[in-house]
Amino acid sequence: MSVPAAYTKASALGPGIETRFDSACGRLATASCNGALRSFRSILGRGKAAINMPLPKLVRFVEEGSYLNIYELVARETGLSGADLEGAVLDRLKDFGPLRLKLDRLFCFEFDTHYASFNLGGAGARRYGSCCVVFDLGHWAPFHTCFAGDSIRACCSSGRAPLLADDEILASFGTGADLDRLAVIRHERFLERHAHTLDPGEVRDILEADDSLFEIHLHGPVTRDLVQEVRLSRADYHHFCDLAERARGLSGPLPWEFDSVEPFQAMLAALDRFDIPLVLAEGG
Amino acid sequence: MSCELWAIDAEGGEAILKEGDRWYLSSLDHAWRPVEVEAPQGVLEWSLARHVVSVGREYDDLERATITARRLCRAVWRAGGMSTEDVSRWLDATVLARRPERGPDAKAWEERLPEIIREAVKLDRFFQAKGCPSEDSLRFTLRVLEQLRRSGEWKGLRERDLLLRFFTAAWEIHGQTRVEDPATPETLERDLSDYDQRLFRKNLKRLEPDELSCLTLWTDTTYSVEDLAVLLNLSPEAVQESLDRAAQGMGRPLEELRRTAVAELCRAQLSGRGRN
Repeated sequence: MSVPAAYTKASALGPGIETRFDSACGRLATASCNGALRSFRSILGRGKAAINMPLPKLVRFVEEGSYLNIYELVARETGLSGADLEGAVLDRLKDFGPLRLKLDRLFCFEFDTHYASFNLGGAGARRYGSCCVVFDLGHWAPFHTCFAGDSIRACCSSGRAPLLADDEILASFGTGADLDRLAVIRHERFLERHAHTLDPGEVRDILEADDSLFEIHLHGPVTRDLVQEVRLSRADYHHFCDLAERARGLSGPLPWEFDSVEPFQAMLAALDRFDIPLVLAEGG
Repeated sequence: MSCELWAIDAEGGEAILKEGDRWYLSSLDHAWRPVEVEAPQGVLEWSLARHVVSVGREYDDLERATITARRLCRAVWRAGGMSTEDVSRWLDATVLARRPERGPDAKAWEERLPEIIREAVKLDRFFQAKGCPSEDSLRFTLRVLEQLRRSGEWKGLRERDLLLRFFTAAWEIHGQTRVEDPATPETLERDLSDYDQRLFRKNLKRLEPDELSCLTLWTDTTYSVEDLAVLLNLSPEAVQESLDRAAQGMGRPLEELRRTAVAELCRAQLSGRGRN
């Protein structure tokens, strides 16, 4: 595997992260929080990469075997590549296209970069879809990269120009190995409030919350055989089961909410066929 | 306020809608309820791994845009996928199909809609009372409404004639959808002779409106006098009297008139086609 350009760029930022991390560790040691720091890094060591997607998209991913980003989807449809492909994606995103392009160029992302989030056992970033597909980061390591936060939200104001200067944006960008250092820098205040140990559930809730999640960038194909499990929140799972049960006794056109019954059943069948575990997420 | 269907990922069951300055994500995962998203952040995030097909079409309001998005997604699932060009064609076809609704008669139709719907509700209730599942009954009734509007016949019909027109059309639709046994006596029945056809056409023209309404429904073998009474909002005695007068006017016993060929002549007379 060739070294992704994004990884090379992130590696160059490593020394700056190391310096800030050392400073944070010094302050935590002074505050007698070494126990919390060790606990925090230990909990982070259990993390995985997760991609949330809606039910129909998960069914398609499992059936077809490949999870595609917008570049790959447009390339599959049009057969375009290189600058022509970039132009086609820009056209589809209309006014937002230039901003997407700017961010991709800033992080040196290529057409095969996939966004994921750091996951500690919860249902993931549910605003992207109810199904949380979990992958073992080992496949991409050490060449995956990360961002302390949600890069697009961090970089954009409600206008169309980036909110921060490039240097400020890149201060939160690192290699996968930098993830726990960036997390300590970002959550130093939280660690200061704990002396000896941490509740993994609390750490999970913080690192999977919409406004404090960690982004993971997977460079290269994302395929079905790399899926470890699929997670659903307990509430979503029971909701879909309930709808499926109620739909059994009904005929004719059904209310809109029943549209999810067919993809839910297709998902169960597809996971079964490919021997992928469905697991209820921790924390509700 | 008008609403733009900005982009769609039909295979993922998601659409981005724009109403004024506000952006919404409507998705199957959320039972299609539009959820407000920030722009550009929310829209860009959504697009990261979506099969984005830009649409850029305006609809009357958020609800209509959502309905179109849902219908498009379902069409794509049924087709097992759709290219960007096919999506455009599908949307074009939807617009064309909606266009007649905005014709010059739209205002007159809206003005008469309460009266038309009152009659349609009677029909719907009647079919349900006959054991039709409510979904089928509603479907027949809606198709009749659509057919009636397209035909323009509604402009000349009042009250009972309107209901009768509903009923005959609904029954035709019902007949088209049910599975018929080809060996039933009905289908083996001999057509009317030329003499009978001429005689019946002539006699039908002389019947009073009440008599014609009752006879038209009676010619369908499924319905009893009590059924017709419910449908026409009359007493069973009044229906029976109208039928007796109709039979007298037609010059045949009632039971002899209960056949498909006579029903067709009645419907033709009722819709004015048999008057020439």
